Amino acid sequence: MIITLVKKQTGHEFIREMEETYNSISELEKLFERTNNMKMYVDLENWRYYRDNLDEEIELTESLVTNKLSLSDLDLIILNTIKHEKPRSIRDLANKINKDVSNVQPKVKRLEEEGFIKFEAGAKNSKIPYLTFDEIKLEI
Amino acid sequence: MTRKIQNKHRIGDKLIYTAKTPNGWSIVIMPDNILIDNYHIDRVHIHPDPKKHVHKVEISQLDMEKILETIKDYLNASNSFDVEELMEMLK
Repeated sequence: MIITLVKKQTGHEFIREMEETYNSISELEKLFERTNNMKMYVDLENWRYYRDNLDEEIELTESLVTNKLSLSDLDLIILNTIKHEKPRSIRDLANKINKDVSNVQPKVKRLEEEGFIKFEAGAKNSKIPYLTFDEIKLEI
Repeated sequence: MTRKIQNKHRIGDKLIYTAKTPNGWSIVIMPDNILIDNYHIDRVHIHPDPKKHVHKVEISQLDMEKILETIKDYLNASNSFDVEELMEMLK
Protein backbone atom coordinates (compact mmCIF):
# COMPACT_ATOMS: atom_id res chain seq x y z
CA MET A 1 0.00 0.00 0.00
CA ILE A 2 1.30 3.47 -0.87
CA ILE A 3 0.21 6.28 1.39
CA THR A 4 0.76 9.78 0.08
CA LEU A 5 0.31 12.88 2.21
CA VAL A 6 -0.31 15.97 0.12
CA LYS A 7 0.25 19.54 1.25
CA LYS A 8 -0.05 22.73 -0.77
CA GLN A 9 1.94 25.87 -0.09
CA THR A 10 3.07 29.00 -1.90
CA GLY A 11 6.61 30.02 -2.73
CA HIS A 12 6.33 32.63 0.01
CA GLU A 13 5.51 29.94 2.61
CA PHE A 14 8.32 27.76 1.29
CA ILE A 15 10.80 30.57 1.80
CA ARG A 16 9.50 31.20 5.32
CA GLU A 17 10.08 27.49 6.07
CA MET A 18 13.59 27.73 4.67
CA GLU A 19 14.30 30.81 6.81
CA GLU A 20 13.07 28.96 9.90
CA THR A 21 15.35 26.04 9.05
CA TYR A 22 18.49 27.82 7.82
CA ASN A 23 18.07 31.51 8.80
CA SER A 24 19.26 32.96 5.50
CA ILE A 25 20.32 31.91 2.04
CA SER A 26 23.94 32.85 2.80
CA GLU A 27 23.87 30.68 5.94
CA LEU A 28 22.63 27.79 3.83
CA GLU A 29 25.37 28.39 1.24
CA LYS A 30 27.99 28.23 3.99
CA LEU A 31 26.40 25.15 5.52
CA PHE A 32 26.35 23.35 2.17
CA GLU A 33 30.01 24.22 1.54
CA ARG A 34 30.88 22.80 4.95
CA THR A 35 28.77 19.62 4.83
CA ASN A 36 28.24 18.82 1.11
CA ASN A 37 24.74 17.71 2.07
CA MET A 38 22.89 17.24 -1.24
CA LYS A 39 19.49 17.91 0.29
CA MET A 40 20.84 21.34 1.24
CA TYR A 41 22.06 21.86 -2.31
CA VAL A 42 18.54 21.19 -3.60
CA ASP A 43 17.02 23.47 -0.94
CA LEU A 44 19.43 26.15 -2.09
CA GLU A 45 18.44 25.75 -5.75
CA ASN A 46 14.76 25.86 -4.80
CA TRP A 47 15.21 28.88 -2.53
CA ARG A 48 16.94 30.80 -5.33
CA TYR A 49 14.10 29.92 -7.69
CA TYR A 50 11.39 30.92 -5.22
CA ARG A 51 12.88 34.27 -4.38
CA ASP A 52 11.59 35.38 -7.79
CA ASN A 53 8.41 33.29 -7.78
CA LEU A 54 6.77 33.97 -4.42
CA ASP A 55 3.18 33.42 -5.51
CA GLU A 56 3.67 30.10 -7.25
CA GLU A 57 1.84 27.19 -5.69
CA ILE A 58 3.84 24.13 -4.66
CA GLU A 59 2.46 20.67 -4.14
CA LEU A 60 4.48 18.85 -1.50
CA THR A 61 3.91 15.14 -1.15
CA GLU A 62 5.29 12.52 1.14
CA SER A 63 4.93 8.91 -0.01
CA LEU A 64 5.35 5.89 2.17
CA VAL A 65 5.19 2.26 1.02
CA THR A 66 3.94 0.15 3.89
CA ASN A 67 1.75 -2.78 4.76
CA LYS A 68 1.86 -2.00 8.45
CA LEU A 69 -0.15 1.17 8.70
CA SER A 70 -3.70 0.87 9.91
CA LEU A 71 -5.94 3.82 10.57
CA SER A 72 -8.84 3.03 12.90
CA ASP A 73 -12.20 4.80 12.88
CA LEU A 74 -11.05 6.76 15.94
CA ASP A 75 -7.83 7.80 14.15
CA LEU A 76 -9.89 9.17 11.26
CA ILE A 77 -12.25 10.97 13.65
CA ILE A 78 -9.22 12.52 15.38
CA LEU A 79 -7.69 13.66 12.07
CA ASN A 80 -11.02 15.03 10.87
CA THR A 81 -11.59 16.90 14.13
CA ILE A 82 -8.10 18.40 14.12
CA LYS A 83 -8.60 19.58 10.54
CA HIS A 84 -12.08 21.02 10.86
CA GLU A 85 -12.51 21.98 14.54
CA LYS A 86 -8.96 23.09 15.34
CA PRO A 87 -8.75 21.93 19.00
CA ARG A 88 -6.51 24.06 21.24
CA SER A 89 -5.03 21.05 23.09
CA ILE A 90 -5.22 17.28 23.33
CA ARG A 91 -7.73 17.67 26.17
CA ASP A 92 -9.84 19.97 23.99
CA LEU A 93 -9.63 17.40 21.19
CA ALA A 94 -10.78 14.64 23.57
CA ASN A 95 -13.71 16.82 24.69
CA LYS A 96 -14.73 17.54 21.10
CA ILE A 97 -14.98 13.83 20.27
CA ASN A 98 -16.44 12.86 23.67
CA LYS A 99 -13.56 10.56 24.63
CA ASP A 100 -11.40 10.32 27.71
CA VAL A 101 -8.09 12.14 27.25
CA SER A 102 -6.22 9.01 28.45
CA ASN A 103 -7.61 7.11 25.44
CA VAL A 104 -6.92 9.90 22.98
CA GLN A 105 -3.34 10.66 24.11
CA PRO A 106 -1.72 7.40 22.82
CA LYS A 107 -3.63 7.65 19.53
CA VAL A 108 -2.43 11.18 19.01
CA LYS A 109 1.14 10.21 19.87
CA ARG A 110 1.09 7.41 17.26
CA LEU A 111 -0.35 9.75 14.61
CA GLU A 112 2.49 12.15 15.38
CA GLU A 113 5.10 9.36 15.10
CA GLU A 114 3.66 8.36 11.72
CA GLY A 115 3.92 11.93 10.45
CA PHE A 116 0.23 12.74 10.16
CA ILE A 117 0.18 15.49 12.76
CA LYS A 118 2.51 17.91 14.55
CA PHE A 119 2.17 20.11 17.61
CA GLU A 120 2.79 23.74 18.33
CA ALA A 121 3.06 25.27 21.79
CA GLY A 122 -0.23 26.51 23.22
CA ALA A 123 -1.29 28.24 26.43
CA LYS A 124 -0.25 26.84 29.83
CA ASN A 125 2.07 24.15 28.42
CA SER A 126 -0.68 22.71 26.23
CA LYS A 127 0.18 21.35 22.80
CA ILE A 128 -1.97 22.37 19.84
CA PRO A 129 -2.26 19.56 17.27
CA TYR A 130 -2.32 20.40 13.58
CA LEU A 131 -2.29 18.41 10.36
CA THR A 132 0.89 18.31 8.33
CA PHE A 133 -0.99 17.82 5.04
CA ASP A 134 -4.18 18.74 3.15
CA GLU A 135 -5.02 15.33 1.66
CA ILE A 136 -4.20 11.64 2.19
CA LYS A 137 -4.07 9.40 -0.91
CA LEU A 138 -4.04 5.63 -0.63
CA GLU A 139 -2.91 3.36 -3.47
CA ILE A 140 -3.22 -0.40 -3.26
CA MET B 1 -1.21 26.87 -11.04
CA THR B 2 1.09 24.33 -9.44
CA ARG B 3 4.38 24.56 -11.27
CA LYS B 4 6.70 23.04 -8.75
CA ILE B 5 6.36 19.68 -7.08
CA GLN B 6 8.36 18.35 -4.18
CA ASN B 7 8.05 14.75 -3.09
CA LYS B 8 9.50 12.71 -0.28
CA HIS B 9 9.43 8.92 -0.66
CA ARG B 10 10.33 6.63 2.19
CA ILE B 11 11.66 3.17 1.28
CA GLY B 12 12.94 1.23 4.27
CA ASP B 13 15.63 3.39 5.89
CA LYS B 14 16.09 5.52 2.75
CA LEU B 15 14.45 8.83 1.95
CA ILE B 16 14.24 9.95 -1.66
CA TYR B 17 13.54 13.65 -2.17
CA THR B 18 12.43 14.86 -5.57
CA ALA B 19 11.90 18.45 -6.66
CA LYS B 20 10.88 20.02 -9.95
CA THR B 21 11.00 23.64 -11.03
CA PRO B 22 11.06 25.21 -14.49
CA ASN B 23 14.84 25.47 -13.89
CA GLY B 24 15.30 21.72 -13.61
CA TRP B 25 14.67 18.73 -11.38
CA SER B 26 16.56 16.80 -8.74
CA ILE B 27 16.47 13.50 -6.89
CA VAL B 28 18.35 13.12 -3.61
CA ILE B 29 18.85 9.77 -1.87
CA MET B 30 19.44 10.12 1.86
CA PRO B 31 21.24 9.28 4.08
CA ASP B 32 23.65 8.22 1.30
CA ASN B 33 23.72 11.83 0.08
CA ILE B 34 23.51 11.01 -3.63
CA LEU B 35 22.17 13.63 -6.04
CA ILE B 36 20.84 13.16 -9.56
CA ASP B 37 19.76 16.34 -11.33
CA ASN B 38 19.72 18.37 -14.51
CA TYR B 39 20.31 21.80 -12.97
CA HIS B 40 22.57 24.23 -14.85
CA ILE B 41 23.24 21.85 -17.74
CA ASP B 42 20.57 20.14 -19.79
CA ARG B 43 22.06 16.69 -19.47
CA VAL B 44 21.01 14.47 -16.59
CA HIS B 45 23.87 13.59 -14.29
CA ILE B 46 24.61 11.91 -10.99
CA HIS B 47 26.97 13.19 -8.30
CA PRO B 48 28.30 9.85 -7.08
CA ASP B 49 30.68 11.26 -4.48
CA PRO B 50 29.06 13.65 -1.99
CA LYS B 51 32.51 14.93 -0.97
CA LYS B 52 33.26 16.00 -4.55
CA HIS B 53 30.18 17.85 -5.70
CA VAL B 54 31.86 18.98 -8.93
CA HIS B 55 32.31 15.35 -10.00
CA LYS B 56 29.39 14.49 -12.28
CA VAL B 57 28.68 11.41 -14.35
CA GLU B 58 26.18 11.72 -17.17
CA ILE B 59 23.42 9.16 -17.37
CA SER B 60 21.52 8.27 -20.48
CA GLN B 61 18.07 8.04 -18.95
CA LEU B 62 16.48 11.50 -19.20
CA ASP B 63 13.06 11.07 -17.68
CA MET B 64 12.85 11.90 -13.99
CA GLU B 65 9.91 9.60 -13.30
CA LYS B 66 11.65 6.64 -14.97
CA ILE B 67 14.84 7.32 -13.02
CA LEU B 68 12.84 7.50 -9.80
CA GLU B 69 11.16 4.16 -10.57
CA THR B 70 14.58 2.60 -11.29
CA ILE B 71 15.89 3.87 -7.95
CA LYS B 72 12.84 2.58 -6.09
CA ASP B 73 13.14 -0.82 -7.79
CA TYR B 74 16.83 -0.94 -6.89
CA LEU B 75 16.22 -0.03 -3.24
CA ASN B 76 13.36 -2.50 -2.93
CA ALA B 77 15.44 -5.30 -4.41
CA SER B 78 18.76 -4.63 -2.68
CA ASN B 79 19.82 -5.22 0.87
CA SER B 80 22.55 -2.60 0.69
CA PHE B 81 23.12 0.59 -1.29
CA ASP B 82 25.96 0.68 -3.79
CA VAL B 83 26.10 3.81 -5.95
CA GLU B 84 28.14 2.00 -8.64
CA GLU B 85 25.40 -0.62 -9.00
CA LEU B 86 22.77 2.08 -9.24
CA MET B 87 24.78 3.95 -11.88
CA GLU B 88 25.00 0.78 -13.95
CA MET B 89 21.21 0.52 -13.88
CA LEU B 90 20.80 4.15 -14.91
CA LYS B 91 23.39 4.15 -17.72
